[in-house]
Amino acid sequence: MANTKTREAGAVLGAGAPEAMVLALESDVGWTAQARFARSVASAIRGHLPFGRYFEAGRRARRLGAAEGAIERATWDWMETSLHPLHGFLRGLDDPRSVVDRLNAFNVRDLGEAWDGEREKHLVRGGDTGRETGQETGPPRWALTSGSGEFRLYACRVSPDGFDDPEGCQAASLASITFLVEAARRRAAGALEGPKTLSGVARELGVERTAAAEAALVFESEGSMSVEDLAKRLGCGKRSLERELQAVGLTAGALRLSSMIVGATASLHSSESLTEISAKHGFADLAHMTRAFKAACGMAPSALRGRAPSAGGSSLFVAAVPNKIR
Amino acid sequence: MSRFLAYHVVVHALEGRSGWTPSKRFAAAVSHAIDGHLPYERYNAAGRARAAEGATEAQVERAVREFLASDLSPGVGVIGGLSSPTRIVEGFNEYNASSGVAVRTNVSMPATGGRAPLVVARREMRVEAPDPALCRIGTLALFDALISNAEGNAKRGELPKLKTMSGLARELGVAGSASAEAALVFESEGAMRVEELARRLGCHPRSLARKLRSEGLTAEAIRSAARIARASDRLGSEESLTVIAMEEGFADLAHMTRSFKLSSGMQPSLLRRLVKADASEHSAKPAHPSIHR
Repeated sequence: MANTKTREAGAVLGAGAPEAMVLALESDVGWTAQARFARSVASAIRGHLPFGRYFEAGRRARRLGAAEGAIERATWDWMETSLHPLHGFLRGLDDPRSVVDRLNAFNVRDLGEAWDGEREKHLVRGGDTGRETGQETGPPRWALTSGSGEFRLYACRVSPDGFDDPEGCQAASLASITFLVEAARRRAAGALEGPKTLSGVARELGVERTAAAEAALVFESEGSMSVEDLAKRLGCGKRSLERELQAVGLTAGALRLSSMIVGATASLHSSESLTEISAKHGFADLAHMTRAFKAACGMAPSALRGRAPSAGGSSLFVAAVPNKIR
Repeated sequence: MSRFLAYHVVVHALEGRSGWTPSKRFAAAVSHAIDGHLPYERYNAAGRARAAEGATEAQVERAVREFLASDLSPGVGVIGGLSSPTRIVEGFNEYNASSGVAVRTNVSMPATGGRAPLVVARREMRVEAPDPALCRIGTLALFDALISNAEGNAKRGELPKLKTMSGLARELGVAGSASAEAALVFESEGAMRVEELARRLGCHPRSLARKLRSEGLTAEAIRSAARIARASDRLGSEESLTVIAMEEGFADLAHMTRSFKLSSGMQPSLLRRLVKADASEHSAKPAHPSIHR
């Protein structure tokens, strides 16, 4: 039941700003390791927060005079435990240039769709100029490219006309980009970093002995099962398990769905068909998996996978051309 | 005449026209050494047209590098000859701020502490138009080409001489043409009257003019281009700008300043400041190698 509810809420919201950036900007105190783990689990199911909250956090950071360096560090911190499917997928690539391509495709097409419903709210019309807003139709974003020689990341900020683009939002989103590019560079240089898992994140946060982490480990190693079976495997009653999870803001259903999505994300790099992947990770069918991914990150698994990067060029312009300008 | 401009190298690269013969390229390079800009509308339209054709980022980057290789504008040439990345960034931003380009691209290179080199760019649109992605790529490719020179320039030690017209003519294989020979005379001997030039080349002024015209140039254009080039080469010296202007055949300093601004949107004093700052940084480096650890 909880499962369905989460999915619906996600589907309504579609995409927004990836959660790691928003939380880094808000820089709230009082995040316990357990709460962070719960957040991380939830980020695989619905990885975005509404744009409004993102920009509000950016403006608040400006009022408080937050340093860009601090925002950058906080973003890297949150990215470290993010299970957002796009981030998870990009962590499996070992070519920084293809990370750049995928991020561009995501920014142009998928953020753009989510923005369409919200843009009126965020645009500040320049009163007397009477200028038509919206020479850019997407949200403020980084258009990325990399020099053809030695890898150098070019990040070009594109904001819609008449938009007050908080510096903090720029710093946070740039930091999330450099985080992903840097991870790909490390892998290209031979660092072995496996895909993130729920139990892995729990270990990093030092909460691997909690009920939530143990339940996640069971789901990961043994696949989908009912809550009753899970309680049995963990050696406690169904109700007491539910109570323990509830205390940290989680449900068994959320843990199950999260581990399904995280597992499927890692499999996207294999040559298996999407139908095989959906069956392997416990989705009812391909459509179920597609819905879950769309709610989680606004992109279908097929869109994450994309075409195999072509030899010479990039897929950037295929995605960039329509841009919804006349 | 359009109010808003774009740098000719990027426009030509984006347009990717066919039919560039070596002599046409030479003529275009000389003409753009005098006036380095084309209307913004061409830049924007070319960016969209190429995207519609499905041109890739890599193609645009290659084309920019290729056209930059035959660019004779002293402003961008001077920036590309600097050895300090900081100065190249400064120069590129100064160029964008002071020339009449429609989209001002401001770049910065935040220190990333051993991570991938990062260039953050902001595009300030001074026209009401969408900014086609390929235009962005083209302009950033220009910056990329300039900044990747830095290391090589630093190793070489001294400021490289700017590309000369006669050198370019040799590269393009048109060294024997009338315009290339005229360029060589102006470059080596400075400004002179057209009659004098014809005498030095051993032909009648009228037939020289005819030949140059058939190659798409005029003696006046070549003289102006040579004048600017010779003056640019002396910017690193201690001579006053007024002296340089007089000796290189400009009417006065204001004339030289105007010519430079038309050529690549930057005043000689600005270029001089960049060159000198770069040179002093460069000479300071070997003395304190530990600073850059």
